[in-house]
Amino acid sequence: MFVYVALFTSLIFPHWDKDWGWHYRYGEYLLTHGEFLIRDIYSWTMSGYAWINHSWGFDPIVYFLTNTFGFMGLSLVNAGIVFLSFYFLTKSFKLGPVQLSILAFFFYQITETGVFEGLRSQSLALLPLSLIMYLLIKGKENTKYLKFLPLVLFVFANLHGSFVLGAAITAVFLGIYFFQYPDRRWKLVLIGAASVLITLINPFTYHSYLEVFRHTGNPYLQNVTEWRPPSLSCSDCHVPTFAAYIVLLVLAFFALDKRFGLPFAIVAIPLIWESVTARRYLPLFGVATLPLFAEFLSVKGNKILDIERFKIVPFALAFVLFIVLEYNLFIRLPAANFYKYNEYDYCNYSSKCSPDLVKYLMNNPPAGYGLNFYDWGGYFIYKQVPFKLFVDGRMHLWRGKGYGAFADYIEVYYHKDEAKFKEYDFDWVIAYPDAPVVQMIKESKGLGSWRIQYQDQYSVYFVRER
Amino acid sequence: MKKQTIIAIIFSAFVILAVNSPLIYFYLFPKNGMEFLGRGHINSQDVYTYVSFIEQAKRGAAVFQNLYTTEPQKPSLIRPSYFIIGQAAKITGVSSIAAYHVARIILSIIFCFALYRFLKHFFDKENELTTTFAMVLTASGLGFAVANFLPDSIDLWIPEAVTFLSLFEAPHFILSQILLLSGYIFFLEYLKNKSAQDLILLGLMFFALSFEHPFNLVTVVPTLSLTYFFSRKKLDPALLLAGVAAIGLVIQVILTITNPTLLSWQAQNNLPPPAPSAFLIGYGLITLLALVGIEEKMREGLYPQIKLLLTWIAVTFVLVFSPINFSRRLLEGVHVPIAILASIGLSATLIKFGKDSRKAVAFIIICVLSLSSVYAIFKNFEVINQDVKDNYYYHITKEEAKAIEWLGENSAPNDIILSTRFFGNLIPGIAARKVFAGHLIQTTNFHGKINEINSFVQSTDKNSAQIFLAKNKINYLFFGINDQMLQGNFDPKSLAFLSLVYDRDGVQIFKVK
Repeated sequence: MFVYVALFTSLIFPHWDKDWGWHYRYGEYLLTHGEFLIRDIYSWTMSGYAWINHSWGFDPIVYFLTNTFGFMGLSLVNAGIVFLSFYFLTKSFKLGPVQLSILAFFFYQITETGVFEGLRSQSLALLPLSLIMYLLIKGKENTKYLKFLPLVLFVFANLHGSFVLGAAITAVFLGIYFFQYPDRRWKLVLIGAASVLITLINPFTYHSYLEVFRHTGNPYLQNVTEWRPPSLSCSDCHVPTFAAYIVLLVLAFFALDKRFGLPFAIVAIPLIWESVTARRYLPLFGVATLPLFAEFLSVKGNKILDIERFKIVPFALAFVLFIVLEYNLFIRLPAANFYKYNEYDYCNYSSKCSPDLVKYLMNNPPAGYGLNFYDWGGYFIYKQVPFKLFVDGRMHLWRGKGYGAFADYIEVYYHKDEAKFKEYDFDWVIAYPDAPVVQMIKESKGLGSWRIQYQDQYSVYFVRER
Repeated sequence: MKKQTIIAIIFSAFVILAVNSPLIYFYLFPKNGMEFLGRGHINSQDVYTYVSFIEQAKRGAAVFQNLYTTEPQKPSLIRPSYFIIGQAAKITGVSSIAAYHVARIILSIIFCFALYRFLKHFFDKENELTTTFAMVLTASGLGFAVANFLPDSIDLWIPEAVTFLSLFEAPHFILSQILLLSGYIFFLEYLKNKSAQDLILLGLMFFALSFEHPFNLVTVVPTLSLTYFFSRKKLDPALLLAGVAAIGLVIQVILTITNPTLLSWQAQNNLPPPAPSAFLIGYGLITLLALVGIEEKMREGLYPQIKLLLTWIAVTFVLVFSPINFSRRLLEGVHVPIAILASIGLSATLIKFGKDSRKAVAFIIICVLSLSSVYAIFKNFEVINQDVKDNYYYHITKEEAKAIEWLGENSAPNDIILSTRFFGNLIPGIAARKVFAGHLIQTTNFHGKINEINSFVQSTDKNSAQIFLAKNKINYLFFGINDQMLQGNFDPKSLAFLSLVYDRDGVQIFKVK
């Protein structure tokens, strides 16, 4: 029990998802209008663009939780979801407190980078994925568990694009079972087919698959933090732990019955590659492989791991867990102002957005068309600022008729492309004070006359003098 | 004298020399003809706050002021150690910073004696005693290996958490550890003999400790009472011990809450601990060896000395992660019980090796355990050596030092000096004068005051500049060579309400008319 409490408190993070604002407004639109917001209404660059919002089911949840429980509620629900994922992943195995603690440690370290922004569709996706793992493991002994797979995948396909991974894992496991259990083949084929086909029941049908595959190989994704490799300045990716975990998985694979380990190996190999190239896959990799490690730890007579024979172990474990609990409740969370978390804290932790700037903009709406910092788009949408955006967190993959606002944004905002800047003929620019585009406006003579209309510690708002 | 004792003395001398080698080197060979300020890279901004107490004592004060803030205050800080050091400096005529370092070295020697005496309660065999002595003085964590990935590792930046690093700290840090160990020595004697004399001496040690590091008593009081209770199963004497040890703490709490300066200082003294992982790395292999040591003792049966060590560690860490704003400070001394248990663990591990190879293995392990301590020395050399003629922090030019001394001789004791943060940190220590801003914690509303200084030098409105100086009762403005305050458009000569009173070799001092 104490292991669970320590893990749960470790999984509480202040809510700072940069995309929270547009998720909230999409959820609001769905619940108040009774229809999906398919075409874009928030940007001026790609207004009317028809977008495959594969996490549409997540949006009304965010809307409800924000209105009912606020930021703290979003954080606690996120912790609860990730904690439940761990529970389902380990539920099938006979584990003592020491083994459970070891698993909790690796689970926490591997998943942290995907769940530490508070409730996001990515972290919510861990729950159906862990349920799939649970059902597949239990279903090996008893096929009645497998019958629930289509239901879980149906829900999953309407919550987040990583359902494709869930469907792939299901296919791999059922495929292996197909050869291992000849007497169950018809059942396995039926369940497998139903599980895959049911994922097409979503507002975008097969387009959801296409949207997920569009992420592969997009060069501009490297400009989005979560798509960068974990080895690049990521203190929450815990690369040494990730490496150690892979070694332990290899050990587990060779130590255990190959019939148990084979589907995990097939799933793990491509996921390791994906995780090495994009940190966003780390939590998915953790969830998909933890049962293999759990099985390894639960095998009796394993002398290397039989540390419970030492008298000190229960005391040391209880002490460490108590310290972790204290650290979370009294040091880490208060340091993030968690117990009194407000919009200023949200801005401070998420993208250094400025509530004061927004107040100013609400009272003094910008005229014409302008450029805004990508990371603040979600917050602006939440605040219903009285102007249309250049770009926001939804738009990194949007392309229509050869045009993509995000690509131009990168060129103008970060690469100081003066020609492109002039082409847009901006009326205003909103950026953080030391952004490359700010430097360009200040230093370049050929961009027209600009004045700083508003500035604070985190933001600067330029208006063009015509 | 026994051979092992002689080895311990030689080893102590070696460690003290090693700890102080960066200081000795840069005092002998300062950079670019400048004057070395005598501070290292850890807690560097604190050195001159303590030197300011010595300087005040030299100038006749018995009770001190916080010279780093300008709010009205009466002298009310009682620091016996700095009073004595100040008096010694006055008699011998040495500078306050020199007295500070001489006191550190003398107290380091006394600490080694106290440690040796403390360890005698745990080991009968002389070689085990000497090995443990060496481990406590030098063993550290793995911070040196992971400095780039985990800069939070405690052996890199929390000197009170590692004995070796604490020997480079201020005199009262070392004195606190002496008093802490002495108090525990009398406690162990009291446990054995139930002698009232030991109880009184124990009380005196912790009472004295309350004037140096009162927060240490926050861990001492529960450690004493719980150890006694776990050892003798009697509640009343345990509570008596807690009461005796807590006297000084109670007095300090009353002094703090009734003194606005101390209260403000304390409120800004936010020192939370880093994440538990920083401790695991920071104590590294000694944690593992300590676990082996505890296992060994648990199998043998725990006796009171070991119960003291375990309670000390447990109480410290439970309190370090509790909601106390200065909780990081509670780590002071906890390295000692961890290293003792690690040494016991090392002995238990060595049994698995052949008799002939044990000494060699022990030597290698102790060397490996001390790598982070060696790294700390190297780091001091590295950062101090980075000072150059136009960009320095650990040195000061001779001209600037002379000018600060001039200020000390030609200004009144209650005058307030405005300068950059760098000089603001040094002036109280060298000249015993108050500064507008000079220390992150001791200057009340430090960041607000720095912003005010920035506004003052950036402002083109002469009237508001005069109002700022008058409002804060600032008497002098100090500008060093290439002073940051003069990098912009600020020109003090153009201000009619300032008169140039010192102008030598690029250093200027203005008096507010």
